[in-house]
Amino acid sequence: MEDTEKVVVRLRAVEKHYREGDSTRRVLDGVDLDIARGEFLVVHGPSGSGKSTLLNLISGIDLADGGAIHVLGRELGKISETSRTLLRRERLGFVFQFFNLIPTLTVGENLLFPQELVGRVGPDAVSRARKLLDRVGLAQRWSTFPDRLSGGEQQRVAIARALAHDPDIVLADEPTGNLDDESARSVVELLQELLRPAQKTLVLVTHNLALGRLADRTLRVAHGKLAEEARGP
Amino acid sequence: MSVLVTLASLRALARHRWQIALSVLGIALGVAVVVGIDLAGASSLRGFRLSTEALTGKATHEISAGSAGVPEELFAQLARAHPALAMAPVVESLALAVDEGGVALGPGRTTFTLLGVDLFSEARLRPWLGEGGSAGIWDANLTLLSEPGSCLISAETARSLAVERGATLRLRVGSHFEHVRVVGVIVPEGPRATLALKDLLLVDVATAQELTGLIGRLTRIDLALADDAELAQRISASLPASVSLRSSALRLAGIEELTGAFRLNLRALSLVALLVGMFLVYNTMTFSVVRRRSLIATLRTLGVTRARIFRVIAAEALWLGVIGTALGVWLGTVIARVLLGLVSQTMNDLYFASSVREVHLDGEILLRSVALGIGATVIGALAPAFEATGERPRLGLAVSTLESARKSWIARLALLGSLAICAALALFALPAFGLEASFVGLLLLVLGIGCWAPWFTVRCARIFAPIAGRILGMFGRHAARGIEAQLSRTSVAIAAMAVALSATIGMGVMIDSFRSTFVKWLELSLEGDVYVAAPTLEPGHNRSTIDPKWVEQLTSAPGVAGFSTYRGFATHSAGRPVQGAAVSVNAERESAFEFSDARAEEVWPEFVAGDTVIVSESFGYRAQLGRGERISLETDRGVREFLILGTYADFASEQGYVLLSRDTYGRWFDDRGVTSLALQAEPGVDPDALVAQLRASLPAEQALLVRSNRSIRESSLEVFERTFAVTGVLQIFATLTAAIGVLSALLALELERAREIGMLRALGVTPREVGRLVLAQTGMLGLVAGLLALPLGIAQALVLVLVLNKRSFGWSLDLQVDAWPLLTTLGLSVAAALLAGALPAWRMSRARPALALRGD
Ligand SMILES: Nc1ncnc2c1ncn2[C@@H]1O[C@H](COP(=O)(O)OP(=O)(O)OP(=O)(O)O)[C@@H](O)[C@H]1O
Ligand SMILES: [Mg+2]
Repeated sequence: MEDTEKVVVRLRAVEKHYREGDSTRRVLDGVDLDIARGEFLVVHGPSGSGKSTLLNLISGIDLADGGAIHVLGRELGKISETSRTLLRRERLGFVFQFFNLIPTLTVGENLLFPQELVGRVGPDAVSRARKLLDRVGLAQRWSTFPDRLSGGEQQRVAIARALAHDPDIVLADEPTGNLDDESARSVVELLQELLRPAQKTLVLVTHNLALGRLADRTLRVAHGKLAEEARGP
Repeated sequence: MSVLVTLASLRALARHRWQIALSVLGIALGVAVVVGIDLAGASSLRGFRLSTEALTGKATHEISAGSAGVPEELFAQLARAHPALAMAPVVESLALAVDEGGVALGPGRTTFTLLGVDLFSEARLRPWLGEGGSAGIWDANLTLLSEPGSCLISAETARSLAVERGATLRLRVGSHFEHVRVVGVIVPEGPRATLALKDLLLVDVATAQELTGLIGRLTRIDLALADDAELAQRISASLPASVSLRSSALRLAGIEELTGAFRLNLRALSLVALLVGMFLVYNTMTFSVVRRRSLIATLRTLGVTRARIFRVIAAEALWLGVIGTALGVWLGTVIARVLLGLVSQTMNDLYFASSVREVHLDGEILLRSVALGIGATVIGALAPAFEATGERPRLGLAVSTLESARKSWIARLALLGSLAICAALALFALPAFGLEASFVGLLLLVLGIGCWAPWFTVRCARIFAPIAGRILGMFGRHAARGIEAQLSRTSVAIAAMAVALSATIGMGVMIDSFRSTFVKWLELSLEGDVYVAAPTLEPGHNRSTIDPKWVEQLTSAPGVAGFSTYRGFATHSAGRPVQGAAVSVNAERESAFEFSDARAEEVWPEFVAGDTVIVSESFGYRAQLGRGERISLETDRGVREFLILGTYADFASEQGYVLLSRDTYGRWFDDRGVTSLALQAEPGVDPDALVAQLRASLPAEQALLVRSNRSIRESSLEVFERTFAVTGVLQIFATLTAAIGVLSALLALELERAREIGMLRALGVTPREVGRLVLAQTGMLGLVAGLLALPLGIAQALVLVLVLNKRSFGWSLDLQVDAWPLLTTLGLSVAAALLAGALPAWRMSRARPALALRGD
């Protein structure tokens, strides 16, 4: 594929439906999307419109019912579950909407975890984890268990973790849902700061329209379709 | 609205069908084991009791004597003195129907009661046998009376032996083979007659005297005295010294008392199974409450009262209990059928001859089990129900997080456990408490140690975490910490499993200790090379005698260097039945005894000389008598006091023995019989060859058992193993319940961890790695449970060996703890946990991460 270099995620006629009793709910109904390397994309839309579903499909956590999804040159529907998992482990970073950190590992260990998965252990891994934790302003909390952190602090650790293993694409689902506008903005700026220089791609789902202003592109999900929004003033 | 509350709750519950099925199964298994054991024990006892009662008829008292029996003239005298009194002479013995080769006939080698009666006297005592009763009996009366050697049997017996009227039956009565002719086949009328005639050979008194060799003597005289105490007093006073009058009910009660300890021991084991079932209910209910925390919180904010929620949860538990118990009762009747054979065999080996083949569904036992099952369920659900209605419903993470592990409940529970352990120790230490108290103590001990499970689990998990981290990396650490993080769940699983496994260890160590003590005792006490005994049909004691002619011949046979004689007999002490034995003393026999409270050199000279006895440990324990004290025995010369010289270890019978020297016995009893002989082979003579030679020298009509020391030892051990076969079955059930407990706990864990696993999968952990993670964790669970089971099991073994055996049987055993069974248990524990973890591991690895990541 000639444009793998530039397009890291490509969706073509992607469909996703859920059965609900006798009827089916078309959550995504023929979605096309190209995301370029290094791009910062914001996705918003009404609740229940399918934003989380879209991220799940891109990450291979869930499979589409129709169409094709290419991520970093691999067609997700055509590779095995294990291959999808390994792709996720090595190339993707994830910040979830709800439940983020492993409660039985300390903050530091949560940051070491994705690195260990890709075989990076030892002092290098620790120093990288410490550096990231420092960047999100929680250097002092290395040995704390997640349940001792506030919602916003947990979300910041999750962001650091999403970057720990140096992924190519970071998918973030409402990482700022628990935060006030001011903190939300600084979290997103932080994400950008960490990703931009390394030409990493960021897909951010948010209700906060103000954050759209920081993005290269803003998409809106509604009625199963994806629409590009004009850039605000 | 209340319908909707229930509906909402039920829907939430319905999502966890597996969980519910497992806990219903757990209760069912627990109840089933209890029901099975109780029914089997009661059925085998009941068969014996009913037929004895039916045979007793209207008799309230009996006049009996020692081995020699009651003189026949006494009956005639009494009949003259009290013409209005209903009384009847009885000669009773056990008999075996055999073929020409001496092999027992009939299903299950039935032992028959040979009952010799006088039909004219019977009419008033046992009307079912006389006029107006079964017609067949009356028709055959004259023949029966006039012709010696004839007998009556029931139609059922005739069928089972495949004989008809007019046939000749070959019997073994005592050590003789005899023949009787079947002169009539009785079709009993009514259930009472059916019971009484079951396995009965009815003969005339004279015929019975001939068959048993009790010439001119009766086994007893049955009387119907109603509650005329004054008359009883008068009759009693008029009797010669060698006989006495006692209540018929006492004989029966004695036997029930004997089996009491055995049945109690079995019941204790079955309760362990129920306890594990209770853990399961607790687990399920806690789980179902935890899962519905947010639902409950929502309901509460909508204004549903706490009482209402409590009722919903309690009703659910009740339903689980009802369904599980119903299933358990049914399953229990099935188990009872399996166990009946084993239990009856033990009863036959040790206590009395019975041939029970059907399980009787005793209403009381069933009701008690139902109450127990439902009660246990409700108790198991109480804590979760209270938690559900607690002041502040906890929101947020449904799993108990690490925080709760630091909570004080662990310490509080451990404290409670310590209190229970202390109470248990007090119950064991204070001799004032009896057998039942020891069982309560055992239960308290198990629960008490179980209360330490959370604390122990936390300790172990903290020790495991760095080790597992080194081996498996972050996964290992995660797995170990997960055990601590979900403590409320994992510790229940661990406690349940540890309790079940510890029962196995406890029983195992007890049986090993028992066996090794028993073997040591057998080696010590079997002093002869060859034993000759008259075969007996009465379990536990030997009363048939060897013809004096053969005693003479056997003891002087070539190759025999020396011998000692043994005479088992029955008598009474202060109205209670006592097993006695008269023994001849020589150097070999002296060496076969070990005294716990006296020195052998002091005992033997006095034992031979004076009116003295030695008693077995269990007798001493029961009667609370020991060296230096006196015991009164009914002898042929009236009641006599004997000095106790010492107490010796003995495992031959649990009621114990009083031993007299042959000379002392001869002074106080008329009987001169010998029930067995111990022969010493001359040096260089092979015992087996001697056995063969002696057997060949005996005529065919003598049914004497000639066995070598070794074969006696082997068959004793066989009986020993048979006695404990029941516990093997119970252990299987206990372990099965434990496995179900672990599975149930793991499935609960699985659901609680669904989101966490989903996140791991989203982060790039492969399904295989998830499976490994779950297995690593369950393996650790198994290890912790196994480790906890060791002290718990050894504590139980200590109690069983040092307290319970002492209190139930009066036996002191040497504790024997081998490392190997303990290690096996540890391995078994890990293996069982891994096995139980396979299903959840597979399910968790397969779970779709997208679903798990959705907030709820
Ligand atoms: N496993 C599922 N089964 C049935 N329906 C589902 C499932 N997952 C999602 N849905 C439905 O798909 C729709 C889109 O869900 P999704 O979680 O993607 O919404 P969202 O845009 O992320 O909403 P929010 O902003 O509230 O997070 C919703 O209507 C939801 O009910
Ligand atoms: Mg969403």
